[in-house]
Amino acid sequence: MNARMPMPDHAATHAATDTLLDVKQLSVIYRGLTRTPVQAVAGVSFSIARGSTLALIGESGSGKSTIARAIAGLGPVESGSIRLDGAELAGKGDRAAEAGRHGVQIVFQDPTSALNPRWPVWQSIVEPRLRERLKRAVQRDIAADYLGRVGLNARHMDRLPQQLSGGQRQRVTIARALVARPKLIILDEAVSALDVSVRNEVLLLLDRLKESEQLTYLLISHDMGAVAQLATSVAVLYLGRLVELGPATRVIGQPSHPYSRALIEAVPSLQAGARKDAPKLSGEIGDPAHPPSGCRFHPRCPFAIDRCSNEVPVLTPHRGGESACHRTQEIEAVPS
Amino acid sequence: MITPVLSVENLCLKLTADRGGAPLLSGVSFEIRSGEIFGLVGESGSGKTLTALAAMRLLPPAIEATGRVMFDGADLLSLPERDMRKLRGSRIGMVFQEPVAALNPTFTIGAQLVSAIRAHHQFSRGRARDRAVELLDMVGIPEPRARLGFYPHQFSGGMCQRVMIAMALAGGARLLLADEPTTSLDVTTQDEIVRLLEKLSREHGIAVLFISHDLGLVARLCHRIAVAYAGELVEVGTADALLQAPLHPYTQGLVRCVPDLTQIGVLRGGIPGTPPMPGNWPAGCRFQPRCTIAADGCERLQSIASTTDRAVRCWRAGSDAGSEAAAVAERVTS
Repeated sequence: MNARMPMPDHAATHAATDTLLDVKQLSVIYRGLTRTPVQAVAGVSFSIARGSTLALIGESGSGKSTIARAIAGLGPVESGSIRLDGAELAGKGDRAAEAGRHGVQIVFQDPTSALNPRWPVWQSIVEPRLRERLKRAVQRDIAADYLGRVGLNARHMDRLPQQLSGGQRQRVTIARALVARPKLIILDEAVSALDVSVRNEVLLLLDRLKESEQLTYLLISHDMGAVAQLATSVAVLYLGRLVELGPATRVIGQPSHPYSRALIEAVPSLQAGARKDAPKLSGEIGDPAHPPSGCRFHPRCPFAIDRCSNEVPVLTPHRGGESACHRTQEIEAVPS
Repeated sequence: MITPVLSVENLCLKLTADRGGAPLLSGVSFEIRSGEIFGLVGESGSGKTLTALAAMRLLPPAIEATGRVMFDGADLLSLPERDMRKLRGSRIGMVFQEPVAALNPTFTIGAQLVSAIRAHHQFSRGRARDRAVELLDMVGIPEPRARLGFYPHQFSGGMCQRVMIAMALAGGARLLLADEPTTSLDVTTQDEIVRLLEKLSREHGIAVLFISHDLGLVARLCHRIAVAYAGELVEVGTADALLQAPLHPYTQGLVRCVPDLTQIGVLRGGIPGTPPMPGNWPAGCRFQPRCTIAADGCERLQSIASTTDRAVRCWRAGSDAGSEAAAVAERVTS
């Protein structure tokens, strides 16, 4: 970057951590007519550097998809700020926010329900550019171009979704996301429904596209295999709060927070030693309508002390990442 | 040698002639011994679920089965429906993927368990309730007596799956067919369910057929594993043998796909191509179009001796090309 654009020193250091998405103190509250309001996300802050991949991990009910939907403008935002390339997206119904959101695309878990079953593939792919009223031949050229980029070809143009395999369908929804020329793509469990042998091939594709299309990813997944392959940094969520944040090598390789440790050690793998006698996590994720006091993880935490149920831990720098735990230092000594 | 609890012999399934007669499963054979957890791994469309449904005789009428499924000295495929009904849910239990959908939302857990117990035993209501409490306790549900009055929506997915397992065991099962029982659950909950199955099998000598697409999970739980591809078994072996030295190129690919959390940022790659649609299988070796070591000869029919402890359906396995591919797979995984 310096070669193309000479910059003073302080600007160069800024460019090294060029932030694309900046989420600050994001809170989401779901309100029903009869139910107690549920705070699904409570004061979450993170940022994603341009060209990198942040993975959001956590059990179901932790708020992963709620954050994704808030960023994509598909869900409510109670308070906080979501900035994409400096432009605020969190303002409700704001036209400027609408425009900014064109830079965000989302790919969902189930490609079958994400595609119109009556539309041929080419029509689905050019949908983000429908408002341009392009000639049909131009639209088909665009579709053919993007089919090529996702590893399909012109043969697939006129097929209906039901004539494609699950992996091919997901490639079509990825192509449709690319047509909008996004800066950020949210992959909301985008490979989770695919068969294992196909899943890793789609991950290869996503990795290639990140370079060629200059993309940044927010990866939401419970599939730790996908996270390990794709993520540059990882954020661990528990009941709407971030408990750990840091580079993937740190959070996946040597998780520090007791919850991250339990979550990662529960993943079946083939490495010797990992297979038997991994520590287990008791109980289940709590009810977000009535979150536990203090550290929300304390009822399940094997290391919990009195302080944990009284005082909310904040993210504090630790070994190159950040962890929200009162006992980080002491737990460090206990082998996992 | 001990007689196996379940012995599947040359099981073939196909659509009936008026539906086109397409083959869905060809020549599947394996056996499960008492107290053994046997893993059946494969991708969607490989025939895993059909195998379990055939053993339970729950196949839709448009599918016809040939071969034998021996359980307790009887061939389940030719048993009169009346006798089969007695076995289902009593000696053979079954657990499915969606625990919440498998329970009736309008009845309490207790009512559903009691009716399952009374379907197989001449118990009074009171005694059936006591048995229900015992079962819930056995599957690790805290305060079981109080939980009898709960409805399924008051339980999490993991708790519902425990209830389903309790229900499957209500009739004193010797064989449990578990079809992707943890797929819709979180990893932490999945881990607990897997530990529970392990415990039940060890303490009560229950044989388990564990069906999953997740080789890593199957490796953690099972003693022996069979790998299914396109309606056939392609490899059978003990968990250790299969994972440390996979012989079939497809198994080698699957092993490569298992998450390795010690390698961050390394793209592992999958198996290029798409699994064939059921009934639309290539001649000879069905994996051949996706295989990296395919050669002349692969278009011949491949055979497998799948009731032995170690078998593979690939004529090149063990040959130079086969071991070369195995070495490559090993380098990637180690």
